[in-house]
Amino acid sequence: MRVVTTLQKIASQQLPFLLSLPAFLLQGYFLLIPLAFIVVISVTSDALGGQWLFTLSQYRDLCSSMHMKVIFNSAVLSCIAGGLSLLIGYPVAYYLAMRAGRMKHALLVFLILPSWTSFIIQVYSWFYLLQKHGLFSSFFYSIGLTSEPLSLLNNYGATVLGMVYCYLPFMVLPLYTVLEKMDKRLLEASADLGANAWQTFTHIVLPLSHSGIRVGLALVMVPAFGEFAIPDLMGGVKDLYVGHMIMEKFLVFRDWHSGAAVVMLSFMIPIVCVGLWYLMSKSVRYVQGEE
Amino acid sequence: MNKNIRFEGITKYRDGEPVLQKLNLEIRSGEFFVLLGPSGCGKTTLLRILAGLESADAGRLFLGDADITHVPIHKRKIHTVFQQYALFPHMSVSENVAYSLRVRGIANNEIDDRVAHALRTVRLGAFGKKSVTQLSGGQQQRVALARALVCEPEVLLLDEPLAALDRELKEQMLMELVDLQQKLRTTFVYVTHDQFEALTVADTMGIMNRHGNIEQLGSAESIYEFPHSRFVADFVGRTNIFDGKLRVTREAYYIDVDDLGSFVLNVTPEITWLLSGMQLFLSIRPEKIDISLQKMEGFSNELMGRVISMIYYGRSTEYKVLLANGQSIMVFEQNEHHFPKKSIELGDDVYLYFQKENTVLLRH
Repeated sequence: MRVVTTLQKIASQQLPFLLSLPAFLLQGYFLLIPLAFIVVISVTSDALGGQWLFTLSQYRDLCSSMHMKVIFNSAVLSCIAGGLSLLIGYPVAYYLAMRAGRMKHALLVFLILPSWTSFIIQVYSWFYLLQKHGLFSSFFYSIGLTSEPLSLLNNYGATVLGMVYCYLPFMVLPLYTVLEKMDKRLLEASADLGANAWQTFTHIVLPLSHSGIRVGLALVMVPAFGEFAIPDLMGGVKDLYVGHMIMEKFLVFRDWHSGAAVVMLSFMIPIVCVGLWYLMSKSVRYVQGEE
Repeated sequence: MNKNIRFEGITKYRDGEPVLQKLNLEIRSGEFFVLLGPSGCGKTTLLRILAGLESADAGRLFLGDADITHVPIHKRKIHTVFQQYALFPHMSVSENVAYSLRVRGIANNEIDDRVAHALRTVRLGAFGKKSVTQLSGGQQQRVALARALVCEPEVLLLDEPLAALDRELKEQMLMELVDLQQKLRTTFVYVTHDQFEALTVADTMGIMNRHGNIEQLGSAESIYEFPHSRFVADFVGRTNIFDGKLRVTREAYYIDVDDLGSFVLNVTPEITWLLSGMQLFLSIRPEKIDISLQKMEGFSNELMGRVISMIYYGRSTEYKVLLANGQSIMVFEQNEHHFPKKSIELGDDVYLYFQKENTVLLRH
């Protein structure tokens, strides 16, 4: 009898852990173990006789100007995608959380709906919209804006458009969550104390939504850094990105060691950036803006 | 300068239902005004219209001679202490208090002085650098007060400000509010559903009924002692109501209560609406009734009944006495002696006495 109750007690105490165990195991097996392999592969080289030797030469090679250019391209694209998603996503999230009223759930579903389809299908849809004789170019031609049907694909603008389109929900959702949970009485208090709408936004809403901005930027910029499908399909392989480099190293050159080093890099740079930013925003207290 | 607040015909609908209908009210400048009413009666709506958080569907609002009906909230010199304080969680105590000065673009050194002064006024002088989330309920309350008062508003609104505090702290804060108001002479408009808070602080009270009308306006004493209606008599303090018919004879006025008998009334000249045979109510407060095991002399009205419940509060005892007509009434007795000669027990038959001067006649 006592054994049973003791077991029950242990079971009830450990239940959350037991329930989350499958997730831990999956993550461990499919993420952590492969990741460990990548780490090991990235710091070793094939020596004669099949022996793996420790080396940092792959990382040293990454410092070459060609590689740096690719990393720079990815970083710029990631920043543009993050910045634009924030600028476009913030008003959307604000409207949904503060003004949409009963419509907000329906509107939220519309926002997320495209991301329920495959990523590649979304990109291809844009492909058909933007190509020569596609919807947009035909429209521009028919209203006389262009003298002949032009392809709107294969340029940097198309890349940015595709990136922002695909990643926007990942910016809007965390912003929406934080704005929705915000105590609206604080906004009333701010107005009551004499602040106009803009002051209330900059002094109260913006600082209190920092966490949402941070999560949104991380969710957009980290995958955007490694993205290559969108620049490839919509930007027409004009610039090379980290994603290309990984594919090339593994599939073209069959050089797993330098490929793994690029993976590590594309993985570490955003993490380090987000981490640094998090520490900074934690230590620097919000300083009130001027009138 | 006259800075009276005047509501003229204020009407407000919510979801098609009227919350306030053609409400007229004048609040004198520099007084501690309490708007008392049951939950959901529209008193908070009236306060929010005054603050500028909501706009009325009809009617006008004046502050002094200025029509402020359409003045936007941030341009009104009317600040609010909110029910849950609504302190800005990302700012320190000082930054919270400084907010209204900062958004008005006042110079930093002046802000510092005024914030320090405001914090001293609410006895939080040493708390400036603390985060508001570290403070206790009472301290947060004081920060909210300092924040609303720092730029010297013409009116301070308090929306059930003490609802979240325990009783002891509440009593202490009420005293501090009265002191503060007497020192500053700012018009305070305080909204509450708690008659204890209202009676403690009010210079003038307005009693709002469930339909959003001001049922009675007056000092705390006048409202408690001379309620105009059953609603006011019941809502402010506790009372016993007898429902009866007026009988006028040459000598006196009486009210006849079915199955119970008649009571002599005290009719003052200002009560002009009395007609013999009219149906009306008699209100007698529980503390104005004497309870005794023996017959006594010298009272205008007498009743008999049986004690059906007793609650001993220490300084007083509350008796519930069942009368001949099946109605039960409340009686409060002060416990003035250590050893009363003979104490009343549950189930005792008792005599109840009250003077006609202590009764109030109510039409509705």
